[in-house]
Amino acid sequence: MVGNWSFGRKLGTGFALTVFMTVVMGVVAAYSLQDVSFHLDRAVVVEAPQILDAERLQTATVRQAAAVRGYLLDPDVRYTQRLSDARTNFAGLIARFRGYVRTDEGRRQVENLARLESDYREAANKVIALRRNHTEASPFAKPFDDEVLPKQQQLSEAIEAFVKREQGQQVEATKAATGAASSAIVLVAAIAAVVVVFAVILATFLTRLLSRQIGSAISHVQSSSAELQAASNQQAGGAREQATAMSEITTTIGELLATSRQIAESAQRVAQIAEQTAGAADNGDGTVTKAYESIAAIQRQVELLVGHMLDLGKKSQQIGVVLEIVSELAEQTNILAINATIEAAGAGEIGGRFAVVADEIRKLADRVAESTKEIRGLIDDVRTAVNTTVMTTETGSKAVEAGSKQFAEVTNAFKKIAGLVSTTTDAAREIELSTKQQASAIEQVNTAVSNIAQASKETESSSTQTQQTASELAGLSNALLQLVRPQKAA
Amino acid sequence: MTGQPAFVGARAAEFRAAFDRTFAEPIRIETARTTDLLAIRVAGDRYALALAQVAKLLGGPRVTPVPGPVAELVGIASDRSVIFPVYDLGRLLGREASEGAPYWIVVAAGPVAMGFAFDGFDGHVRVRNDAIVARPPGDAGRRFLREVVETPAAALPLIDIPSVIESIEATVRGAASGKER
Repeated sequence: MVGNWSFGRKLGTGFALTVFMTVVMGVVAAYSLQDVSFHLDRAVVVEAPQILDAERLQTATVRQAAAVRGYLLDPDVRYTQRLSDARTNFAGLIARFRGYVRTDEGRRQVENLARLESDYREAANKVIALRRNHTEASPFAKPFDDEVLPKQQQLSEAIEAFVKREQGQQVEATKAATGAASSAIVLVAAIAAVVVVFAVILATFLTRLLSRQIGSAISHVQSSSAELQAASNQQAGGAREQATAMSEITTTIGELLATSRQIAESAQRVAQIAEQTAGAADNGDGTVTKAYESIAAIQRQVELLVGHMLDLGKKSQQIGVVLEIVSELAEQTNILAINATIEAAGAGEIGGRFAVVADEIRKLADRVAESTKEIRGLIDDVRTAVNTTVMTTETGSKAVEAGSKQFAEVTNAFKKIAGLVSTTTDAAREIELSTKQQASAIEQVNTAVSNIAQASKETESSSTQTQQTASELAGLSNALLQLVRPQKAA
Repeated sequence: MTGQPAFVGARAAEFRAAFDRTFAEPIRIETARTTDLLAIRVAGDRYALALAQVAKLLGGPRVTPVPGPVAELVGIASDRSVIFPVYDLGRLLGREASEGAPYWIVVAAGPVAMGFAFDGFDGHVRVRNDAIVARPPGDAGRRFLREVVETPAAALPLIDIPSVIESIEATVRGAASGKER
């Protein structure tokens, strides 16, 4: 868990623990000092003034006795005044002690002192009254010795005991302060020792942990610096290649710019030619329309020709029928002539002349038959020619019809061409505009590429600097490694 | 187109002139040195018949089939109230029978009217007598074809009609004698 902490967290935690221990030690020391101060204050601030006040009680008692004695010797008002001041002083001190004392024994002693002082005051007042009424010493000497002096002695002894008591309390307070100081010294020393041990352990732990991690990190830094050096070498090479490529790209873009301008000029010429083509297409449309009308007229003439040819074929068939009749007649004539020849031969010499006629009729019939064959051949040729002509004419008619359809398609095509040429004109203008925009863009690209080339050169120089920095970083990492792991570095 | 009527007119004029010339010239009968023949077709082959052996040539006569003792008998026909039997000339010559009804019939000259049917008639042929030659002896197996006529177009076997009639009559007599027995 601790291994995943950052250096700052580890160091901060160590310092926080150390500070915590130091704070604990300081708190304990402060508490001990406060305890020592309390006891010292009790010994110096509380007990010492009480001792002084107790001494002042003794002094006030002595002053009362001196004032009583002086008045007895010389009943002057001056002594009564001193006596009054001393009594007032004593009463004030008693009042202060009543504020000081906290224990029952102390209160009892203070009240005892007040009672003894009151007894002493009554006895002294009696003697002073005797002195005020008598001038000789005999009437008040004896009361003075019997009553005043013992009470004075009791009061002095009580004050003395009270002073001793106060002094004993001061000694106890002083001893308590000394003991508290000794305890504080021991406790602070122990805590300091614990803090020192903890600090040493923490320092050792952090040193080992940080040395291990920093050493590993430095190793990584070394390898990374080596990789960075190699990468910077590659980057420098790449930057040089990029600079070269950018130079070539700049040249190419220049050529591209020139080409774009040529394209723009060509597109402009294309637009002009497209406009001329549109005019030519319109003229061609008119010409094609006229040609279409001419072809329609040719088609009508061809259909008329086909009709005539079909009539001719029918007439040829009729001629053939007539010719069949003629051929039949010639054949019958031939048969008759042959039979006449036979009959003439049977008639002997009488039928000789008839035989001649019959022979001539047979010859004529033969010739008619031959001529009929020739005419049949001619008619067949005519019919074949008519059929061929009709078929050819029908083929031509179909071709003309197809041509007419094709001309209609051509007309539509011309219209489409005119529309497309218009579209081409618009497209050529758009191409011209786009090419100009492209040229402008290419100029911007050229500028950008120049900037990139400059940046590549700067990258090359920065790569060199990076390479140097990587070398310095490698040296620094070696130095750091020696600092962290001197035994390994040695 | 203009040449065709002139051509037809010339042919017609030629025919007319030849016909007129025939009647203008004196009559010359050369029957002694020539022989008239009929060129016919039987089963696809050409033959010749001597016009002197023929009494009549008929084209397209009606033949009524009748049974008879001779297998080659086709039927009977009539011409000018004369009824005569008609035989298939092709079968008599040993060829295949004609498909369909024969169109041409020749009636043999002689005391008994007898017709012979054949497929086609090519026309009248007149040849010199020396154009008719006898067939070689080795070829005498065909009994009705004893001579050959040399025509300008081809050599035609000459059918001897009397021998054909004689063969038929012999067959008929044989059949009649068979019935009498």
